[in-house]
Amino acid sequence: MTDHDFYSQFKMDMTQAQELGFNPYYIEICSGLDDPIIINGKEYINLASNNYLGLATDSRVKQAMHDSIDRFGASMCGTPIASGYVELYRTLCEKLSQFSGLEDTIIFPSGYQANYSLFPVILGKDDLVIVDHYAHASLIQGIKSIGCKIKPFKHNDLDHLTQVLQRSKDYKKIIVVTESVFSTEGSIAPLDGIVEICSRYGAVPVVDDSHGIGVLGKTGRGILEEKKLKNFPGIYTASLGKALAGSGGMIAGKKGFIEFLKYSCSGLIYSTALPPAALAGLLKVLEIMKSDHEEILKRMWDYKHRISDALEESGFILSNGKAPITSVIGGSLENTVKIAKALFNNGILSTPFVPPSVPPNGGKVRLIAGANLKEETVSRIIKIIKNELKKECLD
Amino acid sequence: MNFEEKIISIIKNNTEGKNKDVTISTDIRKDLGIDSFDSLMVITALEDEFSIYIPDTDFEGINTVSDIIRLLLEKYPDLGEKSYD
Repeated sequence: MTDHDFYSQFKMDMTQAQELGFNPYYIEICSGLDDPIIINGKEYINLASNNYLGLATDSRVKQAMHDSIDRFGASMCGTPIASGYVELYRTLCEKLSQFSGLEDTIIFPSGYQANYSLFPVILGKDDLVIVDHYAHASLIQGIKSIGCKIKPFKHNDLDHLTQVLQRSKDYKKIIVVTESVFSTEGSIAPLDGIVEICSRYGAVPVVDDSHGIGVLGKTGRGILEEKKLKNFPGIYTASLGKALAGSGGMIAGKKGFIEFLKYSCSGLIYSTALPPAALAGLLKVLEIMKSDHEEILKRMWDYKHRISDALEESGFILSNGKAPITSVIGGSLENTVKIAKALFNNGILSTPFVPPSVPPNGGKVRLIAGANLKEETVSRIIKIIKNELKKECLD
Repeated sequence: MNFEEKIISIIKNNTEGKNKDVTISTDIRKDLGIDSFDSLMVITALEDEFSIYIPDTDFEGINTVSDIIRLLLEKYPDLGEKSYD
């Protein structure tokens, strides 16, 4: 096979994007996540990032990161098990444990890696994983890599979960996996019910709180606070790159179990640890949340409700999610891209989800309004929705 | 209902095909958009309904509803002789 023959197999077909006159992916942003952001020299309102709390460009977070570079440099050039275990790493593990209300924590280079690394070390071929049908690709792929039996349960359906558990005998271990917030529609898992059902059938719950940490609960501590779950008996994972405005992923749970993972997860042992600046930024975000959570969360929820109300009043159909995500139902690929394109042409960046990320004709456009948006920006968004967007997409 | 109708009803109830016209010639991937993970929903439902075991790999060559019917009848011929609620 010639080089040409080899590489000609791997060509991305971009005709659909060309026909639709808009490619919503890999849009180059030339600023931080400020209000506004800059794309191609033009100002845009950012409703596409997971910057729920608006802390990605907070001056206190940036200063903490600068200071850590002065003290520790750019990188520890090692995995956490070796020279990557910088003092900040240990402190952040402790603070994240306190924040989530769990005994111990380890930090991975990404949320994807945390999820992908977890399952192969805790499950074998004779075990069963029961997983919410809408669970994230990183969870599914991590589970699939084991070769054990997988049974999906209908999205957030506790009766179906119970049925599946009742009919699942003869497995060594049973794990029930869900997300706290399902990010395309903003629905929240009934985790209290899942935990109760798991305890009845001897299964261990695993929750991915990537879109819940920092956001859900009275003080933003995530799904366990939201559902008032004390002494969570399961395994907790989360991305640190969404509301907490950093990077990396965490797994938290029982102390002895986390100690086991520290020496067992290949995604941790063989990956260079997060740089000190990333750890310092996350520590500062946790500190800010401790003092300012009330004001930040109030603004975040207020923006979500006002934008959702404006869309519904204009005739758009929204997913019935309770998280601070506004998800506009686009349906067909063409219509979903049309809404995202209309938003973009009116200066708003959004996140469209089209198949295969969602089922056929299940297209959605996700809007997340960060708490850093200015009051006048939100008023402008509402004006655009009620006028230009309605006219271009519904009339 | 007969076996074929039961299979169609299970597929409709466990996929996004709920509001679609599903027949034995429906292609579950092209017409219903079922990917490999979605097919596990169907496998789990079939296993539960008929108290059988289906290895996930058996579904790899499956395209249409009639392929599923044929697969199950090859392994469990008795299923085709019963009537279902």
